[in-house]
Amino acid sequence: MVILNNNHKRYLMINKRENVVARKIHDTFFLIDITDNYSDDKCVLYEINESGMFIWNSIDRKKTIDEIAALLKVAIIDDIDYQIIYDDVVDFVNALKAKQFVKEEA
Amino acid sequence: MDDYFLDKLENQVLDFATDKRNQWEQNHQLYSVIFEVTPKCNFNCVHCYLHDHHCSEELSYEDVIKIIDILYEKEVLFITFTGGDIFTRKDFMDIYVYAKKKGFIVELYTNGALINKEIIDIFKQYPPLLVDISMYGACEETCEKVTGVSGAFDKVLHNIEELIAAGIRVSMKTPMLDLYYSEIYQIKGIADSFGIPFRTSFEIFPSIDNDDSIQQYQVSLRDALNYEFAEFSKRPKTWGEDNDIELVDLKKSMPLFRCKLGRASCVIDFQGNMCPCMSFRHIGKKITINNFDAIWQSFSRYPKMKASPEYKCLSCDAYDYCDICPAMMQFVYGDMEHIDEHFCKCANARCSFYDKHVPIDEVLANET
Repeated sequence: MVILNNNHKRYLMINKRENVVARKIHDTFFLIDITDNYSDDKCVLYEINESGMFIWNSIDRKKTIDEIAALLKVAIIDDIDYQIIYDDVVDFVNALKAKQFVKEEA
Repeated sequence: MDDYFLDKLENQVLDFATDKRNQWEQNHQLYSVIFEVTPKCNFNCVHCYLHDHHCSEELSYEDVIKIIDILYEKEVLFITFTGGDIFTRKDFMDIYVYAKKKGFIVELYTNGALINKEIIDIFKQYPPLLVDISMYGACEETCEKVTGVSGAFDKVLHNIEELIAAGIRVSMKTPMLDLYYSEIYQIKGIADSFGIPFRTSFEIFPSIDNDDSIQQYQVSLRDALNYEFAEFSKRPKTWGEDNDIELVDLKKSMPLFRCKLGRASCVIDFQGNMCPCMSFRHIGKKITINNFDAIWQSFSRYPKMKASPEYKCLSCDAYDYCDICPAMMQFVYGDMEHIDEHFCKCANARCSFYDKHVPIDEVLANET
């Protein structure tokens, strides 16, 4: 698996895998793997915060990471440097890739 | 900016015995629903509380989907599908996959006889959290006597085996009847041989039409307690260590309901009525997207409901061990504070055994 570094594939497009569903349950955001077979008797849900949910909802196989970071920059009220936001989006996407929740699009 | 986007993506095994569940219960936020998708059943069990309703009409596929959509919108996370038997619905797997794809965590209650390869193949792709199978006896003869169906026993065992082989989590439960009390350890042995959890219950409640004739199959209190105490003696339990337990000063708070009624879960019956629990189905109301909030809000009164000062149970030394259910008392006797002596006897016997350490034989000698 290719781990994105922060200086490459700025224009890479990514897409969600169909087995992952995002849900808001009483003010908490979760990513739920609907193919999880609950091995070891564990029901694992992945809790993400509002910004993580924003990124997740922005992933649509058409937008690049760069574009998602730009959208997030607009959505965030605080004045945060674009590069910091971009780096964090890359980190988040890498975490999603590690869990096989997203895939790269050609 | 550390953790700005992603503060909990690692280590999020969500233990529903603790934080989130407690939070949702305290906030009266519905997260778990039992949905009875059909009254129809391939079995005709002698003790079934729906026994006169196996031919009643079930909700249409569209109505079931509409309800699932409401539950999705209202942020319910867990659905347990039950019946009747869920697999009597030809469209059940469509319903199941629909719920899975919406992101619900799904448990299934079934007698297991209608499970087949096609169903298991779908489970492999979209696994349920649990398939909980009801077992009626430890042999074909008993199973047939209870269910009225021949050849089901071996089929159920075979299906449990296939589910386990497919990596599906399975558990077994047995509503204990006097028809097969003598087989209780054999049934437990079957569960053990599969390495799956087993649980049993001894209370048989009247049918939903308040027909108490099915209670003729209830195991005697003596036998029920004999099993309970013997199991306890094998694996003594320390009360109060469970995270799920909430300690309440009964004399101070005087709650009528000591269960988690109306806090974060509810039932939807086969007619599409939203009820606080299975014992409270007689007050269910038809669920729609427009009245959902009002119905759920109305359930919030139950955790706050206080017993009257005359309610004798509150001053009973054995109350901690009592299974009396005010919802069921209202259904059967029209009075939530009705005291059914059966529960008093049971609670007093438990109190003698657990608190006063009276030997089993001595406690049971007083029970006929």
